Amino acid sequence: MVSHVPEQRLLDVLEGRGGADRAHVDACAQCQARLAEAQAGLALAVGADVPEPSPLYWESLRRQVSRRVDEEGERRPAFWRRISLGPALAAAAVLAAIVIFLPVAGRQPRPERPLPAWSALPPAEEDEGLDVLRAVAPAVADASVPGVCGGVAECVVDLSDEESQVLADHLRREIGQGMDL
Amino acid sequence: MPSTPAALAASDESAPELVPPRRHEDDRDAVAACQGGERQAFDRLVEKYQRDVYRLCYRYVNNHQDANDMAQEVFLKAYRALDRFRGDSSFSTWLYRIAVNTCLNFRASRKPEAAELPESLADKAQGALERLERDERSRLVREAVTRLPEKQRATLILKIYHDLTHEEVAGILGSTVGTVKANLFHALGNLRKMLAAEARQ
Repeated sequence: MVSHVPEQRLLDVLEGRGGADRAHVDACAQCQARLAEAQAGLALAVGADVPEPSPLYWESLRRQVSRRVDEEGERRPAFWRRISLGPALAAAAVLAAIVIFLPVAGRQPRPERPLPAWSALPPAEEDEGLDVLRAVAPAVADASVPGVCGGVAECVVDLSDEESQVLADHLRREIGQGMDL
Repeated sequence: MPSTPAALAASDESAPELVPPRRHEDDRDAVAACQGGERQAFDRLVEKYQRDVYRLCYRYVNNHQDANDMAQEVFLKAYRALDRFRGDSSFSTWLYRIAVNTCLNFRASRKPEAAELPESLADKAQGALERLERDERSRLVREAVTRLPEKQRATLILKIYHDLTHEEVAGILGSTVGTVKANLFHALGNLRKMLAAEARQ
C-alpha cells in the first residue's frame, strides 16, 4: 500500500520546501493532483482583492473609533491602579492635611488648558480639496467654507445622510455633464 | 501580501515577525503610553492598523457596512482590554486575535450577506470589460472564502491576505503549526473545488 504525503507536508512542497516529499510527489499522480488543486486555489485566492474604500473613509473610521473611545469615558491612568492601597491612603491623608491648612483666600481659578488638537487633515484654508470640490460642485463647496466646517475631508466625513445625498446628487449631475453621461 | 508559493515560504523563513522590529518597538511605546493614560497614543495605533483590521473584517463579511461596524468593534474591544495586554505576543498579533474572535462572533449572530461596496462613479465611467471581469472573479473568490469552514477560512485569510507566518497564525487561532498548514492546504483545495463547481453551473 502506497502512503501519500500528508497535507501539512504537501503545503511545504507548495511553498517550495519539503525536498524529500517533492520526489514522492513527482512520482505519484494522486499527490500531484492534490498539489495542483491547492496551487490553483492559491492562484485564485491571491488575485481576489478587497474593494478599496474612498480615501476619506480611513479618516472617517479613525474618527468614529475615537468618538466611541471617548464615549467609554476618560481612562484612569494605569499609574494609579498600580499603587497599593496603604501608601495611597497615607499619601491621600498628607495631601488632605496640606489642603486643609493652606490659606485659600486670594486664589485665582486656573485657566482651562485647551485640549490638544490633532488632525491628519490640512487646515481648511490650505485644503486643496476645497478647490477641487468647488470646480466639480460649486453649490456644495460654497457651504464648505472654513468656519462652517474644516477642510473638504472633514465636511464630507461629517455629512448627515441627507447632506450626503445632496452631495451625491450634485456630483452625479456635475460629473454627468462633464462626461456627457 | 505573498503572491507566490516561494514568497509564502520566504515569509516564514526570513521574516518570523509580522512587522519589522522597529515597528514592534513603536507599538510597545504606543501601548505603554496608552496604558499610562495618553489617549492620543491609541489614535496612533488605530491609524496604523485600521486598514489591516478593516480588510480582515471585510474578508469575513464581504460587505463594507458590516466590515466598518466590526472594525470599530475590534478597536473598541482592544481599547477596553489594553490594560490587560502584557506584551507576551506582539500588539499586532494580539489585535488580530481580537479581530478574528469578533468576526467569528459576528458571523455566529448574523447571516452572511453578499452586498458589495457600491461601485464609484469613476469606476462606472471607466467600465472596462477587463476590469469588470477581474472584479467579478474577485467577488466570486471572496464569496467562496466566506463559505469555507471556520478554521480553514481564518487560516487562509490570515496567511494569504495578511502575510502572517504559520507560527503567528497558530498563535492567533490557538492551534499548532501542523494544523495550520493542513487547514491552509484543505482551504486552498476546497476553494478551487467550489469555484470550479460554480463555473460548471
